[in-house]
Amino acid sequence: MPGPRIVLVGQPNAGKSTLFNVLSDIKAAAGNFAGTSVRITRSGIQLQGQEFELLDLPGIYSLNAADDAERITRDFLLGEPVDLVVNVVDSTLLSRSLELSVELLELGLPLVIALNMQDEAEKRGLKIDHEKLEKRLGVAVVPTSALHGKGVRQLMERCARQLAAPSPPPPSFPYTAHIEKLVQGLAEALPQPEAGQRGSRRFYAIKAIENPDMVPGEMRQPVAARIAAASARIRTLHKLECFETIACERHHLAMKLSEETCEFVPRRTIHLHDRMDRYLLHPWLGRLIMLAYFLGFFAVIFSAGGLFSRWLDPLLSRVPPLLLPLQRFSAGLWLTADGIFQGLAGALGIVLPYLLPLILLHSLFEDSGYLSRIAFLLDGLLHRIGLHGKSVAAFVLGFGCTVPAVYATRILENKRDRFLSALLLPFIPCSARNAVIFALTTALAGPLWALVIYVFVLLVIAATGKAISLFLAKPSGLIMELPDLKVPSLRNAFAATGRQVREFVLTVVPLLLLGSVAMSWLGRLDVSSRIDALLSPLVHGLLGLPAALGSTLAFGFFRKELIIIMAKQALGAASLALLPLTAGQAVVFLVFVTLYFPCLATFMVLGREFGWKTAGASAALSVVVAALAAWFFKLLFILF
Amino acid sequence: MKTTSLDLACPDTAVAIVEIKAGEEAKRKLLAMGLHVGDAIIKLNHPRWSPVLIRNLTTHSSKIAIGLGLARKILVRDARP
Repeated sequence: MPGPRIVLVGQPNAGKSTLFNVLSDIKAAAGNFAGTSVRITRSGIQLQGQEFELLDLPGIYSLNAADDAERITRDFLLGEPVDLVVNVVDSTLLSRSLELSVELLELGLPLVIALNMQDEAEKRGLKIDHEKLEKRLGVAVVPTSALHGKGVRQLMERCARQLAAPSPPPPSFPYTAHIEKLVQGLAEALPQPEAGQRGSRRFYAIKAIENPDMVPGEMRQPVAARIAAASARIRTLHKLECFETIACERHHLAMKLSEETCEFVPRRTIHLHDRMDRYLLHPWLGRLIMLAYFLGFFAVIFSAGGLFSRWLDPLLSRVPPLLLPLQRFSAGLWLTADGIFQGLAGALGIVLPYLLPLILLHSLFEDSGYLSRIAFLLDGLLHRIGLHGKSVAAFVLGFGCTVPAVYATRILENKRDRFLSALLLPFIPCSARNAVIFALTTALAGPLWALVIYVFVLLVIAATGKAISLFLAKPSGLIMELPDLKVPSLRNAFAATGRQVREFVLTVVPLLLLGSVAMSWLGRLDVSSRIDALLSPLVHGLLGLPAALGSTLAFGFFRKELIIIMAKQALGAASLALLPLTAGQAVVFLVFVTLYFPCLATFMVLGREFGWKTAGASAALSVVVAALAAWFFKLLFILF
Repeated sequence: MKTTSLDLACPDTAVAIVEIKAGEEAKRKLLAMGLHVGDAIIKLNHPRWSPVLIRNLTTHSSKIAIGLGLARKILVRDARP
């Protein structure tokens, strides 16, 4: 039975996930761009001898949620039991952050404020009087610096005190007199929220004016005429839509609070990150840097992966002769043992050497804030293929793993952008496919071919996106925050790498072993030859590859890493370099492998997020595009 | 300085938001991100195939990128006294 529930709520990049990581054993993904956390992460924590449940909710600018990630947070706060809300505030953006705090006060749930990034705020000349802010807000305000663990203990003590003696919800701030009168009138007239529905009547009264869809029908219906009258009056008086007027009210309240409690001494120095942004966001220099960055990124993975792989190869090649005596006892035992070893050798000797540097570099890159710069630079280009810059976050994450990338589409505001991104994301080579590309091109065709494949894949994505977007409405405009650049934390990067490698070892390696054993047995029982025969028209007929690769492609649907292990077994080669494939065949095979549907996990997540029809359409589309693209390469090799 | 759209405003000059002519969805998002009529902002770049980059001077915000199409719907005026 979990204890009282504490939830971390704040605007994107306020440091919620960093605080969560400090407080819990579980390491949540923490990055330096809006929308790193698009799912709820939970953990049990001990506080002064008592058990608590701590939840990290996706970042939210306002409770009038604009995208799916924000809606998760809003729906959780309104519908789930919560004992304490910890509002994580970015001190460097005090005024804007307090707009959400004011809204949370209106909600009426027990609240404690963590004034995070205090040290950074001071560096920028912002001196916040947290005691005065505490008095003005009527809730505990604790200065913290989650990154360095400062103030976290004091924050937890205040949380424990608040939970031990729950104080009544703090009074929220009054609006301008004539609006306040209308809000109070409505709050009195509204029926009580139903059991299980959180939020004060005042909160629902404000929302009835500002965002009526947020108020349950049962509460809204009895006073519909009164809501309409109040809204009409505000519209007439302010000559603005009601949501604009209410947002202005909160804006003014937050500004006033900020002015009263914060002293700002402007610093004349230009921050290093601002100076760097001049180059990184420069129209042509920025794009050149981005290109160099990507080239460097892949060059490092290639070199590091190749080095590890070459180092491990002689060690692993000593094992198969040791297994041969087993053949004398039982052929079945030998088949199983050899299958297990082949799977293990593939995971350790081929996949992991490329996966490790990829994850580590990817984590450092995410943490630096450069991702949003890339989104900025690519916005114009992405518009041409029917998307906008904000999709970049999901696409870059896709180079790591397609599953979190699909979740990352939740930060896109409208369904059209999400749908198109979901269809295109499976084409982005994830770490598993990157490992296959790196390993096979290194062994058979040369690293330059990896670059050709990447450029080609990007062109395929652009052409497919353009073709699909012809049937969709125009993309929505970009509105995106660019958090300040920062030196990426090695600790965060190693934690993220550790988390993903553990996930790889626990969930992927057993699958690789099972797949490898299955392949050994299927070969023996002649099942794989039937799959090969079934897929032969595509594999051999259309693509000109050995038909024996058919079953590896079929099994590749479960995990793409299986392909390199199974290809070796299917074609009876001792190592990748000895695969009986020409460089041309290797490239054709790789183009197909890269573009056809990533894996079962992606299929399941797409189905859950977008419905099974979209998941099915995405899978079918990917197979057709992969077949056409690989065939195109086969023709090129025949012609030249 | 006359009222002009944000994409045409001079870079590195403080301007005040006069009107946001965007649709409700975009307007709500801008408001949630702390951009309101009356706020002083500064345009940081001269966009060419890229979004407009601004910083809200009123709230000392971080940089915000606004797509060109949307920037054309935000009207601004010189904020200097």
